[in-house]
Amino acid sequence: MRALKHTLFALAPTVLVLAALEVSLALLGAGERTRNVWRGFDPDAAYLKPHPEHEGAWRTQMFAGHGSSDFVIPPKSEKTRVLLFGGSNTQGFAWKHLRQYLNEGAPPGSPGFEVVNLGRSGYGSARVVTIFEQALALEPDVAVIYSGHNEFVEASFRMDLEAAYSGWSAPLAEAASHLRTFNALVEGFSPDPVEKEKKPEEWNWEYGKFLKNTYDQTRERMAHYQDNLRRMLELARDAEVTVVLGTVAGNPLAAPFRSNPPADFPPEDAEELDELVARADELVPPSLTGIVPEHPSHRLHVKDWRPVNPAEVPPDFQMPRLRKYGPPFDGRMGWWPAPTRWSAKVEPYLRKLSAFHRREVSAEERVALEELRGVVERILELCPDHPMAHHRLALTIWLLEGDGQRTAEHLRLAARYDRAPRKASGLSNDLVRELVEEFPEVVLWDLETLVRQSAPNGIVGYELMQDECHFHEAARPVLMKELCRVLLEATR
Amino acid sequence: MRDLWREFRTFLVERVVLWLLPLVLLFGFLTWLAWRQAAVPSSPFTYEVF
Repeated sequence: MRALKHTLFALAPTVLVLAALEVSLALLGAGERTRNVWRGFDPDAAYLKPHPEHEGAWRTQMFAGHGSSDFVIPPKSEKTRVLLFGGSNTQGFAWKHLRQYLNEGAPPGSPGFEVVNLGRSGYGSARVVTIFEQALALEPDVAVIYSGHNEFVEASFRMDLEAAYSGWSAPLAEAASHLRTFNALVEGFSPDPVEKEKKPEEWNWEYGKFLKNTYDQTRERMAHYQDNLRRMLELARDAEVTVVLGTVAGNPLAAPFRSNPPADFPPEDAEELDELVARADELVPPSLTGIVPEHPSHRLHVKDWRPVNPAEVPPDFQMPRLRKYGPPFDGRMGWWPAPTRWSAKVEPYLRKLSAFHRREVSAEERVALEELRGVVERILELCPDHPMAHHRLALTIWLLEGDGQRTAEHLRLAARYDRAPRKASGLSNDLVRELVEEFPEVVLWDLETLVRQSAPNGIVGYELMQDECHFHEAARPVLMKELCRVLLEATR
Repeated sequence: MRDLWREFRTFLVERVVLWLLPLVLLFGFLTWLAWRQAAVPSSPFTYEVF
């Protein structure tokens, strides 16, 4: 009896403090239990909710904690409602331009168009399909799907979440989420979306997870991508929503991320392959550093084009000259922002690219490139789908021979065979085209072909792209003009 | 009842460790759990695409 009493005495202060905190937080309206909507993986969470005050209107809750604002979607009107789905490229689509172009091109007397952009950075097809399913409640007339760069980024993020929320503590965290005290603590620890900004290369999510991926595993992952797209097309068919499905344009000049041999690669060849890969690294001439990155920080990233602290532009600055594209991107040399916004990395990188495109090679580098070509050709004899070898072979063919067609061919193969791609390629776009054949009612927006055909030698590069997959801001209205043309045709 | 209250107050004064321990353990555990929960960001991308 005495022991029981003392146990209760010992626990009483804890219970009292907790109760006092819970009551105080309830009075302050803090620490409410919310589903973890901002990461996007919870199919039971509502990413779109009916507006509490305006009947028929909706509001998004899919951008919170990501620096962007959620927004209100007005009640469905007579206007043709176009919804945009995808990742960061879609989020960055110039949707106001699209709306303007659509309304300018709409038949006289028609109610016109409205455009709702539901794209979000980092979203791959697994999360896009969740949003898509819920967004059918918005009664769309047309859904535009532009998704294909983020399959590995998304998978990697999901693996991190699963690691963080698994094990013995997972049910305890779930139970604790009923306490306002716990929720307030989580909120307190969650970094401010602006303050927590890190350089993209500091995030190792994508780089570390797929180090041993074989191409079979890559294709398996991409089969999920196709399944997710197919699911959206089935949902749209049932809801009688017109779908415009885009092929997705990447930057083939950006080097592949992982290059592993197949699981059944002969052990007797493995040693030779390792030696050849090491030799191929040694033979990369300094003028190709960056185009052939040794470290993620050598690559150009989105943030390099508009960093918080741009580099000073020297008085004698001259704009690097790259390549001119054909229609619809004709009329200007580069689509990048003004040099006053660039990081210190951009200008030297563009100078290297300029020299590369002009095939400016010293006699010394030419010798190294000749040897490099021999090495990567031998790698391709051993492992014909080796992405790094295709990429370097493309670069050497261009610099030594100037054969644009073969260069383009090997760059496309490098992208296609990447074991952990962060950009769309022939692999993903073939899956898109297969689906368009499977669903004849789906309208193809073949952006990849359009962009490729506009590029010199069919090699899209940094004139249009900020990194491996993001279009420069100034190029996006051009994309919207093309999308407008497809949409007007699809809704005629 | 008054005796119980007196006994409780005496317990609080004389056996500080016994009642402080569950308090520290519970709030320590909740704090660690919350920190761990908040450690995974909302997205692998923390930058906006301009």
